[in-house]
Amino acid sequence: MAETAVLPNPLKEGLRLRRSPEPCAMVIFGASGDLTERKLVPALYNLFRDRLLPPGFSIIGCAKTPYTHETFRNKMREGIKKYLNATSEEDSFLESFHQGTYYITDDFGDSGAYDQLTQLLDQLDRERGTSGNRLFYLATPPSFFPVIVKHLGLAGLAKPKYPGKSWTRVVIEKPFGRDLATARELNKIVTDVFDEDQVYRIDHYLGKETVQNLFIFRFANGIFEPIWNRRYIDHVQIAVAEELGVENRASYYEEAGLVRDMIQNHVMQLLSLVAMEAPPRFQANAVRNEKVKVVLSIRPVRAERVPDMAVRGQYGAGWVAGKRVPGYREEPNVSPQSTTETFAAMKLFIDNWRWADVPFYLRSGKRLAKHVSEISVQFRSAPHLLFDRNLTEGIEPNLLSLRIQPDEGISLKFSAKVPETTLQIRPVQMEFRYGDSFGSTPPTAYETLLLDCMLGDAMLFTRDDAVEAAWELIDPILDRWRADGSQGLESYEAGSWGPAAADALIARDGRKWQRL
Amino acid sequence: MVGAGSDRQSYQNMDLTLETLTQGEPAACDPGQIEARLSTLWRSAAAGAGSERALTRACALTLLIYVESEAAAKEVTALINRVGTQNPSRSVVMVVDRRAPVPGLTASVSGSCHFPTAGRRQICSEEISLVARGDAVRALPSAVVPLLKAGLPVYLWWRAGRFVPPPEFNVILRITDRVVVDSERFADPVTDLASLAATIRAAAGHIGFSDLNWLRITPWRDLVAQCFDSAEPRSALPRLREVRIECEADRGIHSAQALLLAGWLAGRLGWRFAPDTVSGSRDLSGTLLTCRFESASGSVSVSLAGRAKSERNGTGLVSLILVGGEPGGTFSFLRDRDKNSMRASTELPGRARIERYARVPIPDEVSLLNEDLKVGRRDRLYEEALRVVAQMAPALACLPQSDSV
Repeated sequence: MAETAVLPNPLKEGLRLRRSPEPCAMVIFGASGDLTERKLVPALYNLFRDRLLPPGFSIIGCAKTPYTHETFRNKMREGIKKYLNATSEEDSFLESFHQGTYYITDDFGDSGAYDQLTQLLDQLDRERGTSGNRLFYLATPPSFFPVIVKHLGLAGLAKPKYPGKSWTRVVIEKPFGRDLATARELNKIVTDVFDEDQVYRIDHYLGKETVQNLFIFRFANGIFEPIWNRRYIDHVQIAVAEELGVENRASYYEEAGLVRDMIQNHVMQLLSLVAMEAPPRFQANAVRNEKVKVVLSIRPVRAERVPDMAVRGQYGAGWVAGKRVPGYREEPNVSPQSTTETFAAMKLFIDNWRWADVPFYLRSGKRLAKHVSEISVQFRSAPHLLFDRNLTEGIEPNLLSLRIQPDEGISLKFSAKVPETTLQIRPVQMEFRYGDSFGSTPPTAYETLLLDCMLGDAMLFTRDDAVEAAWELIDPILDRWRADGSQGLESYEAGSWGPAAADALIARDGRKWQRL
Repeated sequence: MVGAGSDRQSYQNMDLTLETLTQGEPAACDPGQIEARLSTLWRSAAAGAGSERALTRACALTLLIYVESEAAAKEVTALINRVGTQNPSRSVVMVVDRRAPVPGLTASVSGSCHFPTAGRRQICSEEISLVARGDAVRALPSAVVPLLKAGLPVYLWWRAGRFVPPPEFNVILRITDRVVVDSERFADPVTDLASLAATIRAAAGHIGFSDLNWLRITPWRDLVAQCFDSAEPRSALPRLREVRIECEADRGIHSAQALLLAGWLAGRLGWRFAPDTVSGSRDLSGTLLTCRFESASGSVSVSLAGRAKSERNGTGLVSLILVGGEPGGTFSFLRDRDKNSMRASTELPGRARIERYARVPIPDEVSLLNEDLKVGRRDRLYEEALRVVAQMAPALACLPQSDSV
């Protein structure tokens, strides 16, 4: 590629479609794995087919399995057909897509493979116009991250090929460490080779359309922000509930547990979005600065306070959606004595001017009554009731519910007079559902995030300081639970809303969990 | 002036009930009583909440639709049901039939409901039809304006030929946020697009304008733009020397799509139209128009070739070829309507040819309208392209008329 200074593309300006990135090559480490076949390549294919990827876009798969270019293409072709139900009508797209697909056999520690990779990338720059733009995606188990990152650095692939004119980015899949120490270690390994602004830590939860809508809801509407504070809000609840058990992830889950799997990342992201201040501008670091400030402001939970502030549970056998399901310890590959938590509830406080003394109640679990993620913002009651107490017992505080999934939407509960009564008051609900007002299907989380990464928009990716701040908060709780062993690990019936101790946690404050 | 027309008779046996509404059956009513009737109806719907028939109403905008015959109104009514699935709205079909012998203004209401997902409540939108015959056209705006949903945007879908609203419609235009036209329906695309450009200029940004035909060429613009993303092809952009556009159309080179695509390229790349360079014919199939634009680095030849539409493929752009000056480079785009795809290829000196297929389904009118209704902002690129077409119009109008080249 000639290193010539070029002006912006005038034909790109003002197009009403989603933006499409500059030509680039994406290198997937761990390309023979499930994630590549099920999620990454189908997402890339969808983007390609819908004209959201540039001409010349190329994929290089790297993994230990000895494939040829053609066998890798065939495997990916089959994956697309299987997971996207692609028919033979799409053969011309598939053929066109796979013209830019290549494969290198690599055990991740062989410098020869990185030389081969460098040569292939240079060839693609020349032949397919990828312009020196490179995206490295680490879809391997985390234990391979250090060796891949180190070799990318040694091969000279971590720095942009044409400084100032081309880009190099690396995408890292969660988990980002399993505690503060390992997260710091990983961050150091990565940032010794890449600059932080080249690093995209992907948490697919943030790619969900409705999570992004939280930001729009708060900062594109003028009416909520003035009352979005301790003066008007009594408390906030965040629930991420799953019907599913551990499925085929038992070996991972036994090591991780619910808090590492859900709270440290997904739930913390939701909490940050609900509680953050308005950023000075809609730009990645401006938004991420505000989000990390929230986590840093959360009052640490000291070890001795853990039993008062947090509850953990593990599901026993029960019924979910009409089917009998086994308890966690009866699941394949789970230890019969396992103390891994599959449910957690906690109460946190954010020590800043906006949220001082407003409790944030979090709960998440597997094998709960239904699959639902919701943020409930309960407002304070009216300061003085004018009405006869006997007639107004039904008055409930206003509740704003932000449903993340399923049936994404927003509802507001308020009081209304029951018609034809003297003065009976009853709560009613005003509902908005995205699906009712916008009939189109949003892109998948991976499509959104891969595209954002190629466009250099890091807003929906997690920064190193945010990862470390979340671990710093969570570590003392996990340490205390580990020290306690099975003591305090509450059992709950699959298909319920978690252990009774979780109800007690919130009931101690005179409150109750929202019915979801 | 409000009176009973012939359609009223056909609706006489149909009362407005929840059943008829959810089935989309129109029910006649007094134009002055529309809101009251609908209100009654929704109250009965609320009473059914919790039952199997439970439904809810959704509305994100008011969609006014302008048509010029009752046959066109029937056609549009069938389409509106599908608009509601993506853009829940109150739609008001305005039938303007000036030539009707008996003046009168009649109204009917209906609903359209759909299940967004299995097990969910039905989502219903309201549809109102107002037929103004003869002199009653004067009364039409006074029946329409009170029907607009408070606080929601108003779109006027002009489903007729050239955008020439009757004088009585000024009151409607004053409260319209956006006018949606379809230049595919323009009888004389050159003149009608130029006329629209003048209207937009006169509106001075108070009303937004959009064109469904512009959306039809969005995939073209998108793929063309992507081809110039990397540095080497982009350096060929200022040196483009030739543009060849081929289209299938009822009216040969009279293809609004071809004109808009040429207008877009010229507008974006800062080319100036050279009026004295136009040659060719402006009629029917097999025709060819050539003209030149001046760019900062020289002259650009633009040719628009038209051929009669084929039964199978319908109208629209067929191909676009852009040829660069020294050191060369050819960028070609070819539509394969059978496969709902487009092939884009880039050939640069010393580089392997890059070819790709992209999915470009042929959207129907409702899909285009749904897409357009979701975008609220003014489309300045469209206005820019229209301005170029308007500059070309006087020269194109001077071309001799002939049936063939």
